[in-house]
Amino acid sequence: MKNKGKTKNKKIIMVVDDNPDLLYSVKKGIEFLSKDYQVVTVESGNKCLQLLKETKPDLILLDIMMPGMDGWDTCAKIKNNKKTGDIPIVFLTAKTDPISRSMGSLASTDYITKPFEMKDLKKRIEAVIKSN
Amino acid sequence: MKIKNTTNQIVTGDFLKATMDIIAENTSLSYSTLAVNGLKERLSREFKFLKNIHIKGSSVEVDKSINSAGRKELRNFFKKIVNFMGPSYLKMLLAQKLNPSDVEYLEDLGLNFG
Repeated sequence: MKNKGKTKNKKIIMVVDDNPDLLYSVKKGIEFLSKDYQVVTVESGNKCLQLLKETKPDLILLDIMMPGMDGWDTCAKIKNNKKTGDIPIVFLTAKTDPISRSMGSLASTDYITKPFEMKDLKKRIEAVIKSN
Repeated sequence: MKIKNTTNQIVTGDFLKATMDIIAENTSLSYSTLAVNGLKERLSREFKFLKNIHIKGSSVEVDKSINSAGRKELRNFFKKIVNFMGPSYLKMLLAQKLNPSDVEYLEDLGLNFG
C-alpha cells in the first residue's frame, strides 16, 4: 500500500488491484487530470481491509479477479462493516460478460470494464462522488 | 392460490434461495448475501411483506403471514427481482433451479419464464 497520508481538501480514491502497472497508471493518470483527487493504491483485498482501519476514502475502485480475497468478497466485507459500509464502490474489472455486470451492479455504485480511457474513468469517479 | 400444495411462503423462499445460489455461483457466497439483502432493503418500502422474509447467511426464512399477500403485489415483487438481475439468461437459470411446481405457480402469477 502506498500514499496513505491524507492531503487537505482532496478526495481520496482507493484503488485495489493486483496489477502494479494498473495501480501506477491510475494513480498517475487521475492525479494528473485533476488536482482534486489523491489516489491511494493497494495490491490486494486483505490490504485494502487493513488500510480501511486507518483511513476512509471517498471512493474505492475495486478489481474483481485478484488472488486471495477476490473483489466480490472484499466488497461484501466493506459493505457489511458499519464504519465502511457507506463508501461507494466501483468495480474496475476485466470481467466484461453481462452476468458479471448484472451481479456487480447489485451491490456496487458503478461497474467499469478494462481497458478504459483515463478521462472516462475520471468522469465516472466525479459522477459517483457528486451523487454521494 | 394453491398449486400442488405450493404456497406464497414456499415459492418465495425457493425463489429467493435460487436467486442467492445463482448470484453466489457467479460471485461469492458473502457477496450473494449482501446483494439479496440489498435488494430486500431497496424494495422494503414498496413491498411491506418483505418484513416477513429473513436472510441469514445463505439461508432464507419466510413467515407464513406472506400467504395473505396479494397476487399483484407478489408478481410485481418477483418481476422487480428478475429485472434487477438483468439478462434473460438469468431468468433461464432461475427456471432451471426452481421446482416445476414453483415455476407453475410463478407463471400463474404472471411471471413469464418462456
